[in-house]
Amino acid sequence: MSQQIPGLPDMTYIDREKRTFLDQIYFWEITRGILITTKHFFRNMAKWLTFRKGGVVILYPEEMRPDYSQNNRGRHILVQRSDGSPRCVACKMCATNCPAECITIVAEESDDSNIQKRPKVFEIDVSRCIFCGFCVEACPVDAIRMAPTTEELAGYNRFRMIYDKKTLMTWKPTVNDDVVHGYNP
Amino acid sequence: MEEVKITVDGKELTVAKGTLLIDACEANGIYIPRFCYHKHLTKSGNCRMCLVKIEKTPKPQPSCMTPVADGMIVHTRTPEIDAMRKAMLEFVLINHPLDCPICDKAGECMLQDQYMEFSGDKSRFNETKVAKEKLYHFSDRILYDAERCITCSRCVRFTSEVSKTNKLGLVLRGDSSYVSLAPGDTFDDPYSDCVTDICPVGALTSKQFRFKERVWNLHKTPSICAGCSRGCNISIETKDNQVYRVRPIENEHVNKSWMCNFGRDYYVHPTAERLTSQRSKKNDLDYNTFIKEVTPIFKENGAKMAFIVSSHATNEELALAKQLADVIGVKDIFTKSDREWKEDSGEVKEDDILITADKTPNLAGVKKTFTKAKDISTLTVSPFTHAFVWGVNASVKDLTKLKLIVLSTERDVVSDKADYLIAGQTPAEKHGSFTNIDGLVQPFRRAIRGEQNTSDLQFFVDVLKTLGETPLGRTVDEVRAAL
Ligand code: SF4
Ligand code: SF4
Ligand code: SF4
Ligand code: SF4
Ligand code: FES
Repeated sequence: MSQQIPGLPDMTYIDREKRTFLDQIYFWEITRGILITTKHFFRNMAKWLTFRKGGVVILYPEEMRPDYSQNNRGRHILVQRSDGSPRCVACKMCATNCPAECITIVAEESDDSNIQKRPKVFEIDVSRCIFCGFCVEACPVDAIRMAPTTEELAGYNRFRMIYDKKTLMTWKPTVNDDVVHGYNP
Repeated sequence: MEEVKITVDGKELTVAKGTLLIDACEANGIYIPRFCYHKHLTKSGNCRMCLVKIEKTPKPQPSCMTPVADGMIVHTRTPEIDAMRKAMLEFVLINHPLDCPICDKAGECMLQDQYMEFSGDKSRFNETKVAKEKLYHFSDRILYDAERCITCSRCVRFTSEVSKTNKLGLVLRGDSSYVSLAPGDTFDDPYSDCVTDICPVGALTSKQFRFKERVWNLHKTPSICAGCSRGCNISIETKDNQVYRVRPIENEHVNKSWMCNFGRDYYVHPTAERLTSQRSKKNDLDYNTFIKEVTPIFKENGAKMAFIVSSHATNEELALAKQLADVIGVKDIFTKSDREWKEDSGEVKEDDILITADKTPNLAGVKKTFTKAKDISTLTVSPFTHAFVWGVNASVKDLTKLKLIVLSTERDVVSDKADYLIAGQTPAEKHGSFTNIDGLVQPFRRAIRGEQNTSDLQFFVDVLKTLGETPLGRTVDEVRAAL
C-alpha cells in the first residue's frame, strides 16, 4: 500500500513489502494515471474554450508568454551609457559572485580617462547560467540587469548560448521596450 | 637579551626589551590595524590607526612608536579605542574616491580590509570630495592616483631608506597633500615596483599588471627568484598557467620585503623561444626512444665527454647529474653561468641592496655539488669527442664540432646544432631548491606547467635507470631526503 510520510503532507511512496494484489497487477494504477491525464485534458480544454488563463501550453520559443512578472529574471542586459558604450567597468564582481562561473570578462584601458576601465570581452554562457540574479545584485554600478522576458534564449547548439558583449548590448526586449527596466533588486 | 613583561588585553606577554608594542602584539596574535607602519621601514607614526590604551598614560598612544616597558598594561579593544579607529577610518575615507571596482588593489587593500573589520559605518560626508590628479605617470612602470593616496609616506620612506634614490616626496599639506616627483623627473629606480606592494591602498599601482586580473583570482605559489644569485623569496601569481605578476615574500635573512624590477619581469615576460620536445639530429623522437638512444652515448663516451652543467639547475637535479657523471666516468666537469650581465640591457649589474653580479640562481649549488668543476672559460674542445651541454649560454669556440647532447630550455646556437636535444624546464616549472650567494638552501614549488611533458630530474633518473643504476631518488623529495 502507499504510505504517508509523517511531516510531509502530500508525499507518498510505495512500500514494496506491503503491496496489495491490486497494486501488483498494475492495471488499476495505470488506469488511474490515465484518468488523471484525461481529467486535466478536459479541464484545460474547458479553460481554453472559455478563454481562461492556463488553458494550453505555450509553443516556446516561437511564442512568448505575455504575462511575465516584471520581476522575472530572464535574459541579461548590459546597460549602456548615453553614448552607447557599456556602463560596465569590468570589475568582475558579477563573475566572482556567479555560482555557475559562467561569466568571462577581460578588462582593458578605456579611451576615456575618466572611466579608465572597460570590458574588452564580456561573455555569459547562458547554457550554464542558473538565472539566480546574483550578478545583478553584485554589480556596483548597475551595469547588468535581467530583462523579465526569456526571448531568444533558445538555441540549436551550445555555442549559440554564449552571449558576447555585442549580443548583450544590442538585444532589446520587445515585451518591455524600456531596456533599463528589468530585474534590479 | 633582556626581557620585559607586559599585559595586553589581559594576556601576559614576555617580549624582548625595545620591541615595539605593535610587533609584540602581532607576534602574540593580536592584530593592531595600521597604515603607515611597515616592518622594514622606519616608523613615522602619522596615520594614528594603531592607537592603543596604555594604563597610566593620559591619552591613547600609537603602538608603532611605543617600545614596550616593563609592567605596561595595554588595552587594544576598549570602546574608546574602537571609536577612535572608526573615526580614523572615517577621516581617511572622507576624500577617498569610490574606486574599488576599477582599483587594482581591491581585494588586498588595507583600507578595505580594515574598514570591514573595524568600522562598517555609512558615509556621513555630504560635501564635495577633493579632486586630485588620478593618472600621474611616475614612470613607465608606476602610476599614481593622488585621490586614493592616504599620505602614509611609506613610499617616500622606501625611496629614502631602501632604494636610496630619494625620488618621491610628499608635497603640500592637509587634504591637498600628495606624493610627487621633482618637477620633470621620472621614477627611475631598479626597485620602484616595491612601492606598489607597500602602498596600503591603490594609490601606486603597477602599469604592467594594470587591469590584467583581479587579485583574488590569482593563485600564489611561493618560489625563489632566478634572476640573480640573491635568491629573493617570491610569490609567483598565476591564473590558467600564465604568470600575471611576481611579488616578494618577506624573508628577514634574504630580501626583507623587497625585490628588484628585473626579477618581476623575468617571469612575466619570458622572451626566449622555448623548446618543447626532444629530437635527434634528423627526426623528432618520443621520450622513451630518446632515452634509449642517448644512454649508450653517455655510457661509452664518459671519459671523452665534456660535462657542462647549468647554473639554473636545482640542487636535486645536480645530485643526480653528479651520480650520472660518476657512473659513466666523466673526467672533466665545467660550470657555466646561464645568463650573464650585458652592458646594453639596462639591467643593474650589482648594487649593495639586493642585486648581485652573478645573474643565475644556483652557481653556488653547482660549485658545492661538483667541487672539482672548472670554469667553462678554461674549456678547449680538442681532448673531447662528445659534450653534454645543460642549459643555455655555452659560448665555447668550436663546441658545435663535438657530438652534442643538449638539455636546454630555449633555442640558441648550440641547441640548433645538437645531435640529441631535449627540452628542459625553467625554474618556474619545476620543484627543487637553490643555494643562494650566501650558501642558504631555499626550496621552491612549481608555479606553472611548461609545454614540454618531461622534467629535467626525470631525464637523469631515466638515464640512470637505463644504465642499470639505482638513482638517488625518483622524485625531488626522495633526492632531497637522500642528500
Ligand atoms: S544569473 Fe546567476 S548564474 Fe546567471 S550569470 Fe548571473 S550570477 Fe551567474
Ligand atoms: S559587476 Fe557590473 S561593472 Fe562589474 S564587471 Fe560585472 S557588469 Fe561589469
Ligand atoms: S585603495 Fe582600496 S578602498 Fe580605495 S579604491 Fe582602491 S581598493 Fe577601494
Ligand atoms: S602613495 Fe601609497 S604609500 Fe605613498 S603615501 Fe600614498 S598611500 Fe602611502
Ligand atoms: S601605524 Fe602607527 S601611526 Fe600609522
